[in-house]
Amino acid sequence: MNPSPLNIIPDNPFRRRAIPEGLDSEKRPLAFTEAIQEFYTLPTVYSSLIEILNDPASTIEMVSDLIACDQASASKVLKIVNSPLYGYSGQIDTISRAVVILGFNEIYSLILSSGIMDFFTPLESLSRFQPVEFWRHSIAVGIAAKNLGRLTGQPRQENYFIAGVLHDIGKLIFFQQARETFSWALELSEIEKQPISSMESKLFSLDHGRAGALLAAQWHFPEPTIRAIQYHEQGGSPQKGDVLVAAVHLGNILARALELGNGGDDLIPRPNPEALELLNLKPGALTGMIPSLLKDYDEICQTLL
Amino acid sequence: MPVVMSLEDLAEGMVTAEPVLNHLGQLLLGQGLTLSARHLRVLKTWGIEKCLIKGGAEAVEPEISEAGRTRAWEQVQERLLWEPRNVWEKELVHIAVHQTLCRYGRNREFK
Repeated sequence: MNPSPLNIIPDNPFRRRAIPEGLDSEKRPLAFTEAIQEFYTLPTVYSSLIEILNDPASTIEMVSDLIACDQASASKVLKIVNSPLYGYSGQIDTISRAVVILGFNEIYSLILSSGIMDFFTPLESLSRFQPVEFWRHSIAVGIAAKNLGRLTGQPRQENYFIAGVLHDIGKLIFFQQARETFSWALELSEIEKQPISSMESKLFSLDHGRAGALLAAQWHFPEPTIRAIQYHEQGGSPQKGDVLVAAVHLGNILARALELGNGGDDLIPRPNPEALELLNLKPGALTGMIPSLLKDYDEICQTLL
Repeated sequence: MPVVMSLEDLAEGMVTAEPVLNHLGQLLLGQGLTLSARHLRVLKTWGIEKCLIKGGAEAVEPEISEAGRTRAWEQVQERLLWEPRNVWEKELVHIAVHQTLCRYGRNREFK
């Protein structure tokens, strides 16, 4: 029997080396680009998964076997794909079937997101930033984005949930690498009633959208997901008609209006009019999707957190 | 706008937004039912942890005073910092105020 890929994952899979002294020294611009490349290396099981996914000779069995070795992730993924969010209620009972129906990319993203949550959730809270509340907000954005993708009749709705869940992942890098400065950014944002991103840009020389996009690129997320992470605050990307970016942008604002979780501040940003026009929702469509959104939110928070 | 509420937060007088079923799929309480102490005991007996309760205009508003509504609107404005211009922005603001009112209804702070 082959050894489980889990055996080769270190205890702390998303930061495999110690942070050198000095990096956490506060109140000066930090070289986050280097920090991201250096410290957030992809755990072996995910690298193996990417290799298999990119190999034309690989089979669904090879992918499923590798995923199934990580029992905790596998069971979470099955719960999520069987939730109302994906519309296959109770029909998907094996990982191989999930791979066939949802495709490699979506399954890869789900597995990786579940791993990222497991890693970051137990971190100690700041008074203005609690990881569990952060993930609750992120899950709400994921569900809202997925619903918006469905409402606007997007032919391919993969990535909507994951892009929403990971939209703020850059904040976790700041939270983990420069806690005091990040705490300061949160405080300033509250005092000055400005978005956190503008304070991050001043203090770190990049905002959480850019930091998150760098990390997502390093972890081989699909291009549209990377753009959604980078441009979710602006609501539009250099790519014309980027519906995923618009959906995550509006999903973020909707989650804030509904007070679902907390991403670090409670402001409700003004939506980008171009994103609203791109989504072109019928009047009342947003209000109409809220009952199912709240139900999915409750269910998925219970599964993932 | 219905809200999901856990058993400990349920109170007499709240109205169910959907039928409540037990784990065998049998109907325990119908939709639109005003909860009484007996209904709450039924839910507890069957180990129902959460149910969907009518919120917003359907159930909460009669309990909220005019001062409460004004305060809800002011609280949302503090988080907005912009004036709604189009139909979608107005809908978003309405959702935020609605949610604040639902929260007041649950916490019963602003009666």
